[in-house]
Amino acid sequence: MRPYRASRWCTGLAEAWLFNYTDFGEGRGRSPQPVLRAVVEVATPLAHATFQAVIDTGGATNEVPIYESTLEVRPPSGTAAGRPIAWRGAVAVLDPWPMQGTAVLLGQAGFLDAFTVTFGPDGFALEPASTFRARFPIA
Amino acid sequence: MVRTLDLADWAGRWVALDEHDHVARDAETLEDLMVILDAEGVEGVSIMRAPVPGEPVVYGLG
Repeated sequence: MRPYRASRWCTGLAEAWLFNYTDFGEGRGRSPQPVLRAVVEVATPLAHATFQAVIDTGGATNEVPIYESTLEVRPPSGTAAGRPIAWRGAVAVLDPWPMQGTAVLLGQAGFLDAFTVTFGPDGFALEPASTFRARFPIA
Repeated sequence: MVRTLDLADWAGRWVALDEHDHVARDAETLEDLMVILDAEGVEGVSIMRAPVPGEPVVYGLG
C-alpha cells in the first residue's frame, strides 16, 4: 500500500453540476421537512456499476485500512452535463458496513480536496476545488 | 425538486437501482449482489444498501 496522500486533482469540470437532494425515507422527526441527503454516484474508472455516495463531512475517527484510489463522480442524471470527473485520493474501507443505507461516504479528506460543494435550499452544486479560493480569496 | 427513493420493501438489503431508480436486483450482502450483477451481465446500475425506515442513514462516521 502506498502512503496516504491527499487528493489533488480533478479535471474537466468546466461548469457547476447541479444535483437534487435525495430523500431516503428516513422520516422527518420534529422537522417540517424530511431528512434530505446530498447524494452523487461514484465509481471506479470503467466500472459497469456505480455506488450511491453521501457527501458528509461529519463523523468520528476509526482505525481502518486506507488505500489510494482513483474514483469518478458521475454527472447529474437526466442532464447533458458531460463525462464523469475523476479524482485521486484516500479511500477508507469499513468492513462490515455499519450504515443503515448507502455504500459510500464522501468526506473532508479526498473529496473536498478535489471539489467545492455548495449546499442550497433545494439542491447542491459541485465545482472544482479551486473555485472556493477564487470566490473567497485569503486576505 | 427532491429525488425520493422508496426502498422500504428492501430495508437492510443491498440493491442495484436502474436509471429510473427502480430496484433491478437485490441481495442480502454486497458480495452476493456483485456476484448476481456479474453473472447476469447487468450494467448501468447504481448500488446502495436500502435504509431501514426511521433510522438515520449516516451516523458517527465520516
